[in-house]
Amino acid sequence: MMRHVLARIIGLIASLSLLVTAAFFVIRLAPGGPFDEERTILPQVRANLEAAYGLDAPLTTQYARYVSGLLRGDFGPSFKHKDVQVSELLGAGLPVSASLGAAALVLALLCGVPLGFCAALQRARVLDHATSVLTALMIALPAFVLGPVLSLVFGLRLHWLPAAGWNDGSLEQAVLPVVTLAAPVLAYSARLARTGLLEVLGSDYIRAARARGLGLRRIVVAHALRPALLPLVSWLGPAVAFVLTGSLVVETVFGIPGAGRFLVEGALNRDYTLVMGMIVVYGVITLLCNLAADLAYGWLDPRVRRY
Amino acid sequence: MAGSILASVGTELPRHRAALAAAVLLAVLCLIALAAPALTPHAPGTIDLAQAGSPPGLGAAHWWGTDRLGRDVFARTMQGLRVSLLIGFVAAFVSVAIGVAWGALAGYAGGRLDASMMRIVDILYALPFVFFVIILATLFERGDVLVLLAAIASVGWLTTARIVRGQTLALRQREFIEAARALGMPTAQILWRHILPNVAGPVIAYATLTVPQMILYESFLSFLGLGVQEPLASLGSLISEGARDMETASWLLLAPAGCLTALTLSLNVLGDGLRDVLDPRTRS
Repeated sequence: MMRHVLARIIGLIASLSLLVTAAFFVIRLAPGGPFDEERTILPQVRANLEAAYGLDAPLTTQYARYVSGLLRGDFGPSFKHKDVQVSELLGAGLPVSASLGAAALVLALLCGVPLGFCAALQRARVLDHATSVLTALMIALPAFVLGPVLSLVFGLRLHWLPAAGWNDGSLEQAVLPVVTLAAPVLAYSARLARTGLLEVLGSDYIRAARARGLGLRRIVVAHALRPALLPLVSWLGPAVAFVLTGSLVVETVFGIPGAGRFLVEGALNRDYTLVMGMIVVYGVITLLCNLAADLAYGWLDPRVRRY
Repeated sequence: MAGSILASVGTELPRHRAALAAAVLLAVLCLIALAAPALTPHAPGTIDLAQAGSPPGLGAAHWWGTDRLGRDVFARTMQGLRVSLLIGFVAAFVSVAIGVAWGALAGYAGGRLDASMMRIVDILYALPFVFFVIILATLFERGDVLVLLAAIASVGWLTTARIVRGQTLALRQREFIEAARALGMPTAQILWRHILPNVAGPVIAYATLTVPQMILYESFLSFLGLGVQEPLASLGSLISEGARDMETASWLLLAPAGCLTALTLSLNVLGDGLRDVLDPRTRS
């Protein structure tokens, strides 16, 4: 088990360094720079600016400086937001994005998993069919369709909920964005839970338990639920990446002051350090969640611990 | 083999009523999108400020209404639908081709090459890949459809590669492959003549599921303003425009949003149906 965990952690560090290196060079090698504006600046001014931000050094030196800064927890100064450190920008936006994303993930799993299990137990009956229609719809509706439509219907037409805004995450402000972000994750987790349980219920050891006369409820609770969750658990890593991506759209649609906008805005402005900061933070979150899902899988399924 | 795929789709898919309905809906959408220039007298780009912001109506000159600049919403939505369909299908084709080549090679070669190739897939799978796509789409010439295609297609091949690799690994042990090898058939030819036709079923099913993903990625980028640029429009950029004006002119949002939903829904349901029919692992 220790070897398994250790190998995974080494893999995580390798993936992270690959991500940082690739992102750094792709961003730098792209045309344009942070000081390209409509108003042309004097060559001396530009040279001074570039020297001040360390852009005049060779690219490999800059890379080494950036990485050594990162290791000390320093994301560097933003190029566009004057006199502001990237860590300050991210520090203001990330708590908002994190609470939005965590709320959506929890809502999706709390509703999706029981829904999927119920559908599996009611196989080919009304609830099962209704679930499959509902999940198909939720998967087909991307956040940038669902968000504006919910905001239009419940915000602008019915006036039940605010159409946009965040207001420090008050409950009524949060309902529509969280639902928008949760919908596809809910649908996928319901599907995975359903197929997971159906597969387990068809296996030999469940048939053996039934043959011995155990009741269905007892079998499901004691023997089927844990293995039925396995496909869902191995999907959790990608699910987090999915939520992070979705939050970019949801934050735009509902005007939420999260960190999502920094990625697009930073890339458009060639704000190198800001984009890199976003990629590092979101990359670490994704990779850590993958690791957690991996370890949880090993805990739920003792067979994989051998490897 | 191609014949047997057609035959099993022909006999089994009609029993899958949802998938059949989805196939019909998809065909209707494609037909309307292609025939739209003949169905409406208005060109998607014609600006008519006198008619700006007129609401939709059955007897109206513009039956899906017009936008802020008086452009016909039906003509523009159909143009967006054509762009989204084109990008979706081409990107799906490219990414499935990459995935098939990668997976078949890894599965057939086996051993260390297989392990390292699939390790790469695992690593890429774990990365927040969409961020990379966003960066690519932002940093290079914006609105360049080719860059957009490359960026989107680079995400879609991982799942296909995994599926094809698994299938190839199983096929490699079979007698007919061994016989071909014993007769001295070159590897490339074995892959092309014997492996590919046998993985075609699941690949077709998953390719159908890749198309809506690609369409969604493209629309996602266009929604963020990083994709298709004016005067060209895709469903994503139309939805983004419509969302800005939805308070006064909700039809600008609802027309492209409805089309995109119908499109992705029909492709997803059709793909699920094809998978039930063609993928041996999901066959009950």
